[in-house]
Amino acid sequence: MGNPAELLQGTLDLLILKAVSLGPLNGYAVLLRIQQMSRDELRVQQGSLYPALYRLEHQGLLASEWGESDNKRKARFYTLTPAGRRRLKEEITYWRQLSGAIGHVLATAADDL
Amino acid sequence: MTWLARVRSFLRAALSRRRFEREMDGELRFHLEARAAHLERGGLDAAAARRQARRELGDPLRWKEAGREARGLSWLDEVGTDLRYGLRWLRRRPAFAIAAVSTLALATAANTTMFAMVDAVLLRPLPFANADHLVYVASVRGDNPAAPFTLPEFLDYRAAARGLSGLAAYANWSASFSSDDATDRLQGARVSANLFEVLGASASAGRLLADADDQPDAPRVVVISHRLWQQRFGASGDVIGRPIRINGETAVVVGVLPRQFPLPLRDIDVVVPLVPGVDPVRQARGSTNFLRFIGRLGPGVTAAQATAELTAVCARLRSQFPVEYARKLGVSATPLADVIGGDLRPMLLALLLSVAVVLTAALSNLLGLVLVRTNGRRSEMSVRVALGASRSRLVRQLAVEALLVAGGASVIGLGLSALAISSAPVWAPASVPRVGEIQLGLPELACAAGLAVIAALLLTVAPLGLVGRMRVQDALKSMGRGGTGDRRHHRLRDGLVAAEIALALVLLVAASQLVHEFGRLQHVDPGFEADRAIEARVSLPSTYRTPADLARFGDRLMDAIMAIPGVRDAGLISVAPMSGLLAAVPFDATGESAGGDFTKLPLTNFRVITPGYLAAAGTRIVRGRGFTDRDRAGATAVALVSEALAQQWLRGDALGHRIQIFDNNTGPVWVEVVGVVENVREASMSGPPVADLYIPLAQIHPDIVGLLRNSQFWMVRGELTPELFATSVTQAVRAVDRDAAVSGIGPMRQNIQAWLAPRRFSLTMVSGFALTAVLLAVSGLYGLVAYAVSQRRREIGLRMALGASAADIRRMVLGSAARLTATGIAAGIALTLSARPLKAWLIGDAPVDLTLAVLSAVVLFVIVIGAGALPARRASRIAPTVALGE
Repeated sequence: MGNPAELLQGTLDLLILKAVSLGPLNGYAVLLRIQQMSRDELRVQQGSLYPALYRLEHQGLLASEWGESDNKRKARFYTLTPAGRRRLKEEITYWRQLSGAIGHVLATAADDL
Repeated sequence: MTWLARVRSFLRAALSRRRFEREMDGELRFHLEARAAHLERGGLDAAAARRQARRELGDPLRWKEAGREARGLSWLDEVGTDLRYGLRWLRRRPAFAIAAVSTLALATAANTTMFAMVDAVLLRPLPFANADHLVYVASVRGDNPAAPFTLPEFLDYRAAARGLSGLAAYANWSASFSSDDATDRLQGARVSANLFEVLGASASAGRLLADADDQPDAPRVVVISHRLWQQRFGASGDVIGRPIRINGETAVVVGVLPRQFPLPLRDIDVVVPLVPGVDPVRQARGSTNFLRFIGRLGPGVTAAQATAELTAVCARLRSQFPVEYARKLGVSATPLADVIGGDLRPMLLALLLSVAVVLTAALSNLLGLVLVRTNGRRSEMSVRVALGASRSRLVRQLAVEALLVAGGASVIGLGLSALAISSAPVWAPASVPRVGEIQLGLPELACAAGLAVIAALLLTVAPLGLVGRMRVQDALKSMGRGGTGDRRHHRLRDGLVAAEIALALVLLVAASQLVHEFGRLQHVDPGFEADRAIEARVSLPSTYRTPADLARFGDRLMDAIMAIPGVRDAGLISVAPMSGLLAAVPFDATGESAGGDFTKLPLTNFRVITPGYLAAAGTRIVRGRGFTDRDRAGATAVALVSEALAQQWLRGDALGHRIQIFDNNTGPVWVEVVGVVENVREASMSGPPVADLYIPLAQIHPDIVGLLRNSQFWMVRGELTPELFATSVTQAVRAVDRDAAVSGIGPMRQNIQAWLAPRRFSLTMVSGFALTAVLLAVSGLYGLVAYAVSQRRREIGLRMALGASAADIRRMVLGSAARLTATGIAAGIALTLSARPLKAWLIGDAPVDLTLAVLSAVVLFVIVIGAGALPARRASRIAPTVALGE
């Protein structure tokens, strides 16, 4: 892929929730994890990452605490809360429905109508 | 429940703000380092990696701002900025800030205090259990619709009344309370023992009266008031069970009344049982009517039903005792709360209305001031709009400023209100009951808060008209002149200011007239030496039964008083002038023996005096002589009369004239007039002189002994001060009889001051309102003229550029102000001369003094125009170039 796709805010939230669901991560690590999970096809705008993280924490979907990183540096680590887990499941279901519906629309040939 | 989580998260960030910021910084730092390290591993050198990392992250400030916004903190920050800005803006305009805050604070204080008073006296239920079931039961007679009952009636009604779950009685009773160092006269009550049960009152300490105390052989007990407990017994618990000396007899204190104990009989300090079983008049159907009843309605019974039932009982009693109960037409039961506060309802509501009007005027003035200020801020607002401020942001800023003013004023107003309320017993007129219950409770706080909200809303909405219509390009050009909407507003505000001026004139006329009248009353010759004569009221216990007992006491006390150093003259009078007590008897001066019907005869004030009284009080003898020691019991019955009585009833020479007086229950007494004294002010400082008749103490009829026991006033004159006299006379009285009580020691002037007190209160209130109204009118006109000037800056600049002088501009500005003021004053004069109820309420029956009215009008005109002079002068100083270039 050429340019990294532009992500809508809601989609970014979904990706963050999914990334953190696999284990506690600090902000930079979330960035790397999303890149990794998308097989390098998605690069998150760094300026929008932290506002999204703070927002999710404010809404009670993420919890944060300070810990030590690999190289013994102090960093804030984010984990998924039970509410966050529930929201992730909802968002995934919704995303699948949405992409399925869009897929149907795109697959319609002229003579299916 | 995400909103709860949001609030929690917001609070955590808001309360430990520094930590929040520090953590964001730390996170940012870590991110940068991690990214830089990553890039370094990819091949860049350290510096380039760091630069790249920073570039990728973007502006850290926007990043942190987004973080704050995500946590909901940006809202907090903006309000904080608005507050700081608002405070700075207010500080730079101290005149506006002081005017706005003080106006609103005074209006809030006045309204809250008045509301607290109305709440305590009229709205709040009495401090008894289920107080709305309590009724005041009164005897309806032809001459008195709320008369008391006899003791036998109490026993009858209590047994017969089915609709009432309880009926209790009480009677006025005064007692002397002797302690080791002093004997005082206390106001008290004799009550049926079930009174407290009927009322639903509970004791502050100990117990209240119970049925056992009403039995004939019960030990003597007494219940004291909370105030007496605090003042004389230090509110200590050991007063319970302590014996005290009341009216010469020992009684045991069994309890203390609740702190608030409002009854139609006020300021009760001691309560004793009625003990109807041994009262000598308990069978006498024709005995004195002295008992008042309080009843509690039974379940489901209304006051009207109780009235009907009790009236039926009354009719039955009347048929049983047709002679004694001839004049008793019926019985009425009215809610007790109405009786206690009821007749003050119109006055209190009128006062409440007045402060509400003051509030409205104050708010309208405030509006004017704000509009002037906002006009001056148009350029500031327009720049902010140009820089990207949203309309809601501007509105929020205006709201914050409005809340600052309203909030600050509210706090100050509440403080003033609390002060006024805590000192209410001092300034509230004596006729207001339940003064002790006036407090700053939840309803009052809500009232003040509500006022603040209304004021803040008004102050926010008013400038919105200017802000809302602003478009960026309009605002950056010169100021607009406003359209038709403005003109309507203008007319309304003109009308309001004219109304304020009219009201100010009415109040000013009333106040000046009241002041004039009050001053006059203070200098009326009272007929006695108000300042040099000192009086002391003495009351004696019931052990004094005959005139001889009284004469003996009088002689011994006279000796003791004359022995006090500095005393030159001393004497006794049964009722002191202007003391507020009444004693009058019918008399017949025709010289013939009157028939049995003395109800048609004229009345004269009736006074018993000793020979030394006239000299002590300073009342002159105009003709003939005063009393001497030779006017004894058994000698010719003599009397002195006032000039007014002599002139009106004793044509020709009064001396030697014989008058019949009806001062006792047996029959008329003949007295011979031996002297005429000057007229004395007895009950009022205004009005025509009244008839007085004096007889010597040594010649009184046995029936009057009770009158002299309850009240006798001793007057002295000489070289001594009231304070010295107070200690000496108290000792002297105690030395003569330990159970005699002394009270009310002071110069005779104190009676006049007490009589003047309600007038003084009225005067103070009206003057206060007048001053407020004038201040409001002045600030209202100022605001109006200042606004007009600020709207017409371009026009004024144009005129000056075209050749108008400063004086011309001033004339133009003041001209319209003068027209408005004249209209207001004319309206005020019309109101003064025509509105009868208003006039009656403010200055009573006196006619309007036209000289004072015209003087007030002129003074008001000058003051109000003076207010307009300041903006007029500023208008004339406008530099044309500046005004045109705006």
